[in-house]
Amino acid sequence: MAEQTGAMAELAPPDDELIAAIAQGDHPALLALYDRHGRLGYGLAYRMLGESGAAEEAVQDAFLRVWRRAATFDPSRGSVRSWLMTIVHHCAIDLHRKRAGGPNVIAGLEEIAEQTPAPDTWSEVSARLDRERVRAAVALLPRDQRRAIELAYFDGLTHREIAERDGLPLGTVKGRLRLGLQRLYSALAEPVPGIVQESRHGA
Amino acid sequence: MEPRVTQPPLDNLRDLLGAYALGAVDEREAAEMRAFLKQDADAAGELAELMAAASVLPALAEPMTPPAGLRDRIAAIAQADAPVRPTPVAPLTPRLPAPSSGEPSPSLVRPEPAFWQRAAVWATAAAALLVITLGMLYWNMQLRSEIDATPPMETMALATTDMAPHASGEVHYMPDQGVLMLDVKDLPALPQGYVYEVWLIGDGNPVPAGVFAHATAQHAVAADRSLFNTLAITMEPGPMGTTAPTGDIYASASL
Repeated sequence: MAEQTGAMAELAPPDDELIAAIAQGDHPALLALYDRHGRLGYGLAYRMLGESGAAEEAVQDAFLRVWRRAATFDPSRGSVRSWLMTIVHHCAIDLHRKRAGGPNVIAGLEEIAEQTPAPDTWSEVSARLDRERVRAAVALLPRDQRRAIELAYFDGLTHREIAERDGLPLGTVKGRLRLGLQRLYSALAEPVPGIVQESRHGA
Repeated sequence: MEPRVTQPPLDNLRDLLGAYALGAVDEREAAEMRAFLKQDADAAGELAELMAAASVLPALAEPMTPPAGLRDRIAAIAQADAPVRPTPVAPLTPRLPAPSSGEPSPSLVRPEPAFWQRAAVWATAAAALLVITLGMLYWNMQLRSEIDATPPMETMALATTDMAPHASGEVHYMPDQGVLMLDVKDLPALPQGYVYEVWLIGDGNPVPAGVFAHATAQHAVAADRSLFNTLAITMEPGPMGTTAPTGDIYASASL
Protein backbone atom coordinates (compact mmCIF):
# COMPACT_ATOMS: atom_id res chain seq x y z
CA MET A 1 0.00 0.00 0.00
CA ALA A 2 2.71 2.45 1.01
CA GLU A 3 4.74 1.53 -2.04
CA GLN A 4 1.73 2.01 -4.25
CA THR A 5 0.94 5.43 -2.96
CA GLY A 6 4.63 6.31 -3.14
CA ALA A 7 4.71 5.32 -6.78
CA MET A 8 1.56 7.28 -7.45
CA ALA A 9 3.10 10.28 -5.75
CA GLU A 10 6.08 10.07 -8.06
CA LEU A 11 3.87 9.96 -11.12
CA ALA A 12 1.48 12.69 -10.09
CA PRO A 13 1.75 16.20 -11.52
CA PRO A 14 3.91 18.89 -9.90
CA ASP A 15 2.72 20.36 -6.63
CA ASP A 16 1.65 23.67 -8.10
CA GLU A 17 -0.61 21.91 -10.61
CA LEU A 18 -2.08 19.83 -7.82
CA ILE A 19 -2.83 22.93 -5.79
CA ALA A 20 -4.48 24.59 -8.78
CA ALA A 21 -6.62 21.51 -9.26
CA ILE A 22 -7.48 21.33 -5.56
CA ALA A 23 -8.61 24.94 -5.74
CA GLN A 24 -11.06 23.78 -8.39
CA GLY A 25 -12.42 21.05 -6.14
CA ASP A 26 -10.46 18.12 -7.55
CA HIS A 27 -10.44 15.37 -4.90
CA PRO A 28 -7.87 13.10 -6.53
CA ALA A 29 -5.44 16.01 -6.62
CA LEU A 30 -5.82 16.41 -2.84
CA LEU A 31 -5.07 12.73 -2.37
CA ALA A 32 -2.09 12.95 -4.71
CA LEU A 33 -0.74 15.78 -2.59
CA TYR A 34 -1.31 13.66 0.49
CA ASP A 35 0.47 10.71 -1.09
CA ARG A 36 3.46 12.89 -1.81
CA HIS A 37 3.74 14.85 1.42
CA GLY A 38 1.63 12.95 3.94
CA ARG A 39 4.61 11.08 5.40
CA LEU A 40 6.54 14.24 6.09
CA GLY A 41 3.46 15.97 7.46
CA TYR A 42 2.67 13.05 9.72
CA GLY A 43 6.30 12.80 10.84
CA LEU A 44 6.29 16.49 11.71
CA ALA A 45 3.01 16.28 13.59
CA TYR A 46 4.14 13.14 15.40
CA ARG A 47 7.38 14.76 16.50
CA MET A 48 5.42 17.72 17.83
CA LEU A 49 2.60 15.83 19.51
CA GLY A 50 4.27 12.56 20.45
CA GLU A 51 1.38 10.24 19.78
CA SER A 52 -0.29 8.85 16.71
CA GLY A 53 -3.90 9.83 17.38
CA ALA A 54 -3.11 13.50 17.83
CA ALA A 55 -0.71 13.53 14.90
CA GLU A 56 -3.37 11.99 12.73
CA GLU A 57 -5.86 14.63 13.79
CA ALA A 58 -3.42 17.44 13.03
CA VAL A 59 -2.67 16.10 9.56
CA GLN A 60 -6.35 15.61 8.87
CA ASP A 61 -7.07 19.19 9.92
CA ALA A 62 -4.20 20.43 7.78
CA PHE A 63 -5.39 18.74 4.63
CA LEU A 64 -8.90 20.01 5.21
CA ARG A 65 -7.45 23.53 5.42
CA VAL A 66 -5.51 22.91 2.22
CA TRP A 67 -8.71 21.73 0.61
CA ARG A 68 -10.50 24.90 1.64
CA ARG A 69 -7.67 27.38 1.14
CA ALA A 70 -5.82 26.09 -1.92
CA ALA A 71 -6.90 29.15 -3.88
CA THR A 72 -4.92 31.36 -1.49
CA PHE A 73 -1.61 29.64 -2.21
CA ASP A 74 0.88 31.99 -3.85
CA PRO A 75 3.95 30.32 -5.38
CA SER A 76 5.96 33.53 -5.12
CA ARG A 77 5.98 33.08 -1.33
CA GLY A 78 7.53 29.64 -1.31
CA SER A 79 6.96 26.05 -2.28
CA VAL A 80 3.76 24.09 -1.85
CA ARG A 81 5.61 21.79 0.50
CA SER A 82 6.67 24.67 2.75
CA TRP A 83 3.15 26.04 2.73
CA LEU A 84 1.67 22.67 3.55
CA MET A 85 4.14 22.03 6.35
CA THR A 86 3.41 25.47 7.78
CA ILE A 87 -0.24 24.49 7.94
CA VAL A 88 0.54 21.12 9.52
CA HIS A 89 2.73 22.91 12.05
CA HIS A 90 0.01 25.38 12.96
CA CYS A 91 -2.61 22.64 13.25
CA ALA A 92 -0.32 20.67 15.53
CA ILE A 93 0.45 23.71 17.70
CA ASP A 94 -3.25 24.45 17.88
CA LEU A 95 -4.00 20.93 19.04
CA HIS A 96 -1.11 20.89 21.47
CA ARG A 97 -2.12 24.17 23.12
CA LYS A 98 -5.76 23.18 23.33
CA ARG A 99 -4.79 19.98 25.10
CA ALA A 100 -2.29 21.67 27.35
CA GLY A 101 -4.66 24.52 28.20
CA GLY A 102 -2.10 26.98 26.93
CA PRO A 103 -2.64 30.11 24.87
CA ASN A 104 -4.51 29.74 21.62
CA VAL A 105 -2.64 29.77 18.40
CA ILE A 106 -2.40 33.35 17.33
CA ALA A 107 -5.29 34.26 15.11
CA GLY A 108 -4.52 34.30 11.45
CA LEU A 109 -1.07 32.79 11.77
CA GLU A 110 -1.45 31.13 8.40
CA GLU A 111 -2.57 34.35 6.84
CA ILE A 112 0.55 36.01 8.22
CA ALA A 113 2.67 33.38 6.57
CA GLU A 114 0.74 33.74 3.36
CA GLN A 115 1.07 37.50 3.35
CA THR A 116 4.75 37.62 4.15
CA PRO A 117 6.68 37.67 0.90
CA ALA A 118 9.62 35.33 0.74
CA PRO A 119 13.01 37.02 0.38
CA ASP A 120 14.28 37.42 -3.18
CA THR A 121 15.56 34.17 -4.66
CA TRP A 122 14.36 32.20 -1.63
CA SER A 123 11.99 30.00 -3.60
CA GLU A 124 14.89 29.06 -5.85
CA VAL A 125 17.13 28.44 -2.85
CA SER A 126 14.54 26.44 -0.95
CA ALA A 127 13.87 24.24 -3.96
CA ARG A 128 17.52 23.11 -3.82
CA LEU A 129 17.59 22.46 -0.10
CA ASP A 130 17.74 18.88 0.98
CA ARG A 131 17.26 17.36 4.38
CA GLU A 132 20.94 16.82 5.08
CA ARG A 133 21.85 20.37 4.28
CA VAL A 134 19.17 21.73 6.57
CA ARG A 135 20.24 19.41 9.36
CA ALA A 136 23.84 20.39 8.93
CA ALA A 137 22.95 24.06 9.12
CA VAL A 138 20.83 23.57 12.24
CA ALA A 139 23.56 21.48 13.85
CA LEU A 140 25.98 24.37 13.47
CA LEU A 141 23.78 26.73 15.46
CA PRO A 142 24.93 27.49 19.00
CA ARG A 143 23.33 24.94 21.29
CA ASP A 144 21.24 27.46 23.23
CA GLN A 145 19.79 28.92 20.05
CA ARG A 146 19.03 25.50 18.64
CA ARG A 147 17.29 24.45 21.83
CA ALA A 148 15.17 27.60 21.94
CA ILE A 149 14.13 27.15 18.31
CA GLU A 150 13.27 23.50 18.82
CA LEU A 151 11.23 24.21 21.93
CA ALA A 152 9.30 26.86 20.06
CA TYR A 153 8.87 24.99 16.81
CA PHE A 154 8.47 21.36 17.84
CA ASP A 155 7.10 21.71 21.37
CA GLY A 156 4.83 24.63 20.49
CA LEU A 157 6.02 26.72 23.43
CA THR A 158 5.76 30.48 23.44
CA HIS A 159 8.83 32.52 24.27
CA ARG A 160 7.40 33.11 27.74
CA GLU A 161 6.96 29.39 28.31
CA ILE A 162 10.51 28.73 27.17
CA ALA A 163 11.78 31.39 29.56
CA GLU A 164 9.84 29.82 32.42
CA ARG A 165 10.94 26.32 31.58
CA ASP A 166 14.62 27.17 31.32
CA GLY A 167 14.64 29.89 33.97
CA LEU A 168 15.83 32.56 31.57
CA PRO A 169 14.97 36.23 31.12
CA LEU A 170 12.47 36.85 28.33
CA GLY A 171 14.97 38.98 26.47
CA THR A 172 17.45 36.11 26.35
CA VAL A 173 14.91 33.75 24.84
CA LYS A 174 13.73 36.30 22.29
CA GLY A 175 17.33 36.97 21.33
CA ARG A 176 18.13 33.28 20.91
CA LEU A 177 15.12 32.70 18.70
CA ARG A 178 15.86 35.67 16.53
CA LEU A 179 19.61 35.16 16.26
CA GLY A 180 19.22 31.45 15.66
CA LEU A 181 16.84 31.99 12.76
CA GLN A 182 19.06 34.72 11.35
CA ARG A 183 22.04 32.38 11.40
CA LEU A 184 20.03 29.59 9.87
CA TYR A 185 18.83 31.82 7.08
CA SER A 186 22.34 33.04 6.37
CA ALA A 187 23.70 29.51 6.33
CA LEU A 188 21.08 28.36 3.86
CA ALA A 189 20.62 31.40 1.66
CA GLU A 190 24.29 32.15 1.26
CA PRO A 191 26.10 28.86 0.97
CA VAL A 192 28.95 28.60 3.41
CA PRO A 193 31.97 26.47 2.54
CA GLY A 194 32.05 23.56 4.88
CA ILE A 195 28.29 23.34 5.09
CA VAL A 196 27.43 23.01 1.46
CA GLN A 197 30.00 20.68 0.08
CA GLU A 198 27.97 19.93 -2.96
CA SER A 199 28.04 23.53 -4.27
CA ARG A 200 30.83 23.67 -6.74
CA HIS A 201 30.23 26.71 -8.89
CA GLY A 202 32.84 28.18 -11.19
CA ALA A 203 35.07 25.15 -11.24
CA MET B 1 10.26 40.92 35.07
CA GLU B 2 6.54 41.67 35.32
CA PRO B 3 4.71 41.60 31.99
CA ARG B 4 4.38 45.05 30.52
CA VAL B 5 0.96 46.59 30.46
CA THR B 6 1.90 49.64 28.44
CA GLN B 7 2.68 49.74 24.73
CA PRO B 8 6.07 48.09 24.33
CA PRO B 9 8.93 50.04 22.83
CA LEU B 10 9.58 49.30 19.20
CA ASP B 11 12.95 47.75 19.99
CA ASN B 12 11.13 45.15 22.07
CA LEU B 13 8.93 44.31 19.12
CA ARG B 14 11.93 43.94 16.86
CA ASP B 15 13.44 41.56 19.41
CA LEU B 16 10.27 39.52 19.19
CA LEU B 17 10.57 38.87 15.44
CA GLY B 18 12.13 35.42 15.91
CA ALA B 19 9.41 34.28 18.30
CA TYR B 20 6.79 35.71 15.96
CA ALA B 21 8.23 33.86 12.96
CA LEU B 22 7.93 30.62 14.93
CA GLY B 23 4.41 31.30 16.18
CA ALA B 24 5.78 31.48 19.73
CA VAL B 25 3.85 34.58 20.79
CA ASP B 26 0.44 35.17 22.30
CA GLU B 27 -2.42 36.98 20.60
CA ARG B 28 -1.70 40.36 22.16
CA GLU B 29 1.89 40.27 21.03
CA ALA B 30 0.85 39.16 17.58
CA ALA B 31 -1.55 42.08 17.26
CA GLU B 32 1.16 44.51 18.34
CA MET B 33 3.54 42.96 15.89
CA ARG B 34 1.12 43.23 12.99
CA ALA B 35 0.69 46.92 13.66
CA PHE B 36 4.44 47.37 14.01
CA LEU B 37 5.22 45.60 10.75
CA LYS B 38 2.95 47.91 8.81
CA GLN B 39 5.10 50.83 9.90
CA ASP B 40 8.55 49.30 9.64
CA ALA B 41 9.60 47.90 6.27
CA ASP B 42 13.00 46.81 7.60
CA ALA B 43 11.38 44.69 10.25
CA ALA B 44 9.03 43.21 7.65
CA GLY B 45 12.04 42.33 5.52
CA GLU B 46 13.78 40.67 8.43
CA LEU B 47 10.63 38.76 9.29
CA ALA B 48 10.51 37.39 5.75
CA GLU B 49 14.00 35.96 6.22
CA LEU B 50 13.22 34.53 9.64
CA MET B 51 10.04 32.90 8.34
CA ALA B 52 11.99 31.48 5.42
CA ALA B 53 14.43 29.95 7.90
CA ALA B 54 11.57 28.58 10.00
CA SER B 55 10.02 27.02 6.90
CA VAL B 56 12.89 24.54 6.57
CA LEU B 57 12.56 23.15 10.09
CA PRO B 58 10.21 20.30 9.09
CA ALA B 59 13.31 18.73 7.54
CA LEU B 60 14.39 17.91 11.09
CA ALA B 61 11.40 15.59 11.51
CA GLU B 62 11.58 12.02 10.28
CA PRO B 63 8.92 11.17 7.69
CA MET B 64 6.58 8.47 9.00
CA THR B 65 3.92 6.39 7.33
CA PRO B 66 0.54 7.64 8.57
CA PRO B 67 -2.09 5.20 9.85
CA ALA B 68 -3.84 3.43 7.02
CA GLY B 69 -7.25 5.00 7.55
CA LEU B 70 -6.12 8.61 7.43
CA ARG B 71 -6.07 8.90 3.64
CA ASP B 72 -9.65 7.63 3.33
CA ARG B 73 -10.81 9.97 6.08
CA ILE B 74 -9.26 12.95 4.37
CA ALA B 75 -10.97 11.88 1.15
CA ALA B 76 -14.30 11.49 2.94
CA ILE B 77 -14.03 14.85 4.68
CA ALA B 78 -13.15 16.64 1.47
CA GLN B 79 -16.05 14.94 -0.23
CA ALA B 80 -18.41 15.90 2.56
CA ASP B 81 -17.11 19.45 2.29
CA ALA B 82 -17.97 19.48 -1.39
CA PRO B 83 -21.16 21.59 -1.19
CA VAL B 84 -19.12 24.68 -0.31
CA ARG B 85 -16.57 23.98 -3.02
CA PRO B 86 -16.66 25.10 -6.62
CA THR B 87 -17.59 22.35 -9.01
CA PRO B 88 -14.58 21.03 -10.83
CA VAL B 89 -14.51 22.69 -14.22
CA ALA B 90 -12.42 19.93 -15.75
CA PRO B 91 -10.50 16.94 -14.55
CA LEU B 92 -6.85 17.63 -13.93
CA THR B 93 -5.40 14.87 -15.99
CA PRO B 94 -6.32 15.99 -19.51
CA ARG B 95 -4.33 19.21 -19.01
CA LEU B 96 -1.17 17.30 -18.30
CA PRO B 97 1.50 16.52 -20.83
CA ALA B 98 2.06 12.85 -21.49
CA PRO B 99 4.79 11.49 -19.27
CA SER B 100 8.12 10.88 -20.91
CA SER B 101 7.98 7.22 -20.04
CA GLY B 102 5.18 6.79 -22.50
CA GLU B 103 2.76 5.68 -19.82
CA PRO B 104 -0.79 6.77 -20.60
CA SER B 105 -1.53 10.01 -18.78
CA PRO B 106 -4.99 9.01 -17.53
CA SER B 107 -3.29 6.82 -14.95
CA LEU B 108 -1.60 9.78 -13.24
CA VAL B 109 -4.29 11.22 -11.03
CA ARG B 110 -7.64 9.64 -11.32
CA PRO B 111 -10.60 9.46 -9.05
CA GLU B 112 -10.83 6.19 -7.19
CA PRO B 113 -13.84 4.70 -8.95
CA ALA B 114 -14.57 1.99 -6.47
CA PHE B 115 -14.35 4.39 -3.56
CA TRP B 116 -16.44 7.19 -4.98
CA GLN B 117 -18.93 4.97 -6.70
CA ARG B 118 -19.51 3.37 -3.36
CA ALA B 119 -19.97 6.83 -1.92
CA ALA B 120 -23.21 7.18 -3.82
CA VAL B 121 -24.41 3.92 -2.36
CA TRP B 122 -23.47 5.07 1.12
CA ALA B 123 -25.32 8.31 0.61
CA THR B 124 -28.45 6.40 -0.24
CA ALA B 125 -27.93 4.05 2.65
CA ALA B 126 -27.18 6.97 4.95
CA ALA B 127 -30.36 8.78 3.93
CA ALA B 128 -32.42 5.68 4.59
CA LEU B 129 -30.74 5.13 7.90
CA LEU B 130 -31.26 8.75 8.85
CA VAL B 131 -35.01 8.26 8.52
CA ILE B 132 -34.76 5.04 10.45
CA THR B 133 -32.68 6.74 13.10
CA LEU B 134 -35.22 9.50 13.62
CA GLY B 135 -37.92 6.88 14.00
CA MET B 136 -35.73 5.00 16.38
CA LEU B 137 -35.53 7.87 18.82
CA TYR B 138 -38.95 6.88 20.10
CA TRP B 139 -38.61 3.19 19.39
CA ASN B 140 -35.26 3.10 21.13
CA MET B 141 -36.78 4.27 24.37
CA GLN B 142 -39.51 1.65 24.18
CA LEU B 143 -37.12 -1.11 23.26
CA ARG B 144 -34.71 -0.33 26.06
CA SER B 145 -37.38 -0.94 28.61
CA GLU B 146 -38.40 -4.19 26.92
CA ILE B 147 -34.83 -5.45 26.71
CA ASP B 148 -34.49 -5.36 30.45
CA ALA B 149 -36.98 -8.19 30.55
CA THR B 150 -35.68 -10.07 27.52
CA PRO B 151 -32.47 -12.02 27.90
CA PRO B 152 -30.05 -11.26 25.05
CA MET B 153 -29.38 -14.19 22.80
CA GLU B 154 -25.76 -13.39 22.09
CA THR B 155 -23.30 -11.05 23.74
CA MET B 156 -20.13 -9.63 22.25
CA ALA B 157 -17.47 -7.75 24.16
CA LEU B 158 -16.85 -4.14 23.31
CA ALA B 159 -13.13 -3.48 22.83
CA THR B 160 -12.03 0.03 23.68
CA THR B 161 -9.11 1.96 22.23
CA ASP B 162 -6.63 4.43 23.69
CA MET B 163 -9.20 7.12 22.96
CA ALA B 164 -11.47 5.67 25.64
CA PRO B 165 -9.22 4.02 28.24
CA HIS B 166 -11.89 3.86 30.95
CA ALA B 167 -14.79 2.73 28.81
CA SER B 168 -16.30 -0.72 28.79
CA GLY B 169 -19.37 -2.38 27.43
CA GLU B 170 -21.07 -5.06 25.41
CA VAL B 171 -23.15 -5.54 22.33
CA HIS B 172 -26.15 -7.83 22.56
CA TYR B 173 -27.75 -9.34 19.48
CA MET B 174 -31.32 -10.55 19.47
CA PRO B 175 -31.86 -12.53 16.27
CA ASP B 176 -35.59 -12.86 16.75
CA GLN B 177 -36.00 -9.14 16.71
CA GLY B 178 -33.04 -8.44 14.44
CA VAL B 179 -31.74 -5.95 16.95
CA LEU B 180 -28.26 -5.03 18.08
CA MET B 181 -28.17 -3.43 21.50
CA LEU B 182 -25.11 -1.44 22.45
CA ASP B 183 -24.49 -1.02 26.16
CA VAL B 184 -21.49 1.21 26.86
CA LYS B 185 -20.30 3.14 29.86
CA ASP B 186 -17.58 5.60 30.80
CA LEU B 187 -16.69 6.92 27.39
CA PRO B 188 -14.86 10.26 27.61
CA ALA B 189 -17.09 13.27 28.24
CA LEU B 190 -18.30 14.78 25.00
CA PRO B 191 -17.16 18.28 24.07
CA GLN B 192 -19.99 20.67 23.38
CA GLY B 193 -21.44 20.16 19.92
CA TYR B 194 -20.30 16.56 19.54
CA VAL B 195 -22.04 13.20 19.76
CA TYR B 196 -20.99 9.60 19.68
CA GLU B 197 -21.94 7.90 16.47
CA VAL B 198 -22.40 4.18 15.92
CA TRP B 199 -21.21 2.55 12.71
CA LEU B 200 -21.89 -0.85 11.22
CA ILE B 201 -19.12 -2.11 9.00
CA GLY B 202 -19.44 -4.91 6.50
CA ASP B 203 -17.71 -5.52 3.21
CA GLY B 204 -18.13 -1.92 2.15
CA ASN B 205 -17.66 1.24 4.09
CA PRO B 206 -19.13 2.14 7.47
CA VAL B 207 -22.86 2.71 7.58
CA PRO B 208 -24.14 5.23 10.14
CA ALA B 209 -26.38 3.60 12.73
CA GLY B 210 -27.45 6.41 14.99
CA VAL B 211 -25.98 8.74 17.57
CA PHE B 212 -26.04 9.20 21.33
CA ALA B 213 -24.95 12.08 23.48
CA HIS B 214 -23.88 10.55 26.78
CA ALA B 215 -20.72 8.90 28.00
CA THR B 216 -22.80 6.03 29.36
CA ALA B 217 -25.60 4.89 27.13
CA GLN B 218 -27.67 2.11 25.69
CA HIS B 219 -28.39 2.27 22.00
CA ALA B 220 -30.48 -0.08 19.89
CA VAL B 221 -30.04 -0.61 16.17
CA ALA B 222 -32.29 -2.65 13.89
CA ALA B 223 -29.89 -4.53 11.67
CA ASP B 224 -29.30 -7.83 9.95
CA ARG B 225 -26.09 -8.89 11.62
CA SER B 226 -25.11 -11.15 8.74
CA LEU B 227 -24.42 -8.08 6.62
CA PHE B 228 -21.87 -6.65 9.04
CA ASN B 229 -18.82 -7.83 10.86
CA THR B 230 -18.00 -4.88 13.12
CA LEU B 231 -19.76 -2.26 15.19
CA ALA B 232 -17.70 0.82 15.98
CA ILE B 233 -18.14 4.08 17.86
CA THR B 234 -16.57 7.40 16.89
CA MET B 235 -17.01 10.97 18.08
CA GLU B 236 -18.57 13.21 15.43
CA PRO B 237 -20.05 16.69 15.13
CA GLY B 238 -23.56 16.82 16.56
CA PRO B 239 -26.40 16.80 16.73
CA MET B 240 -26.91 14.44 13.81
CA GLY B 241 -23.44 12.98 13.33
CA THR B 242 -21.97 12.47 9.88
CA THR B 243 -22.57 10.18 6.94
CA ALA B 244 -19.02 8.83 7.01
CA PRO B 245 -16.75 8.56 10.04
CA THR B 246 -14.28 11.38 10.53
CA GLY B 247 -13.04 10.72 14.06
CA ASP B 248 -11.03 8.06 15.83
CA ILE B 249 -12.64 4.82 16.93
CA TYR B 250 -13.35 4.84 20.65
CA ALA B 251 -14.67 1.31 20.88
CA SER B 252 -15.65 -1.55 18.60
CA ALA B 253 -17.09 -5.04 18.69
CA SER B 254 -16.79 -7.96 16.31
CA LEU B 255 -20.28 -9.03 15.35
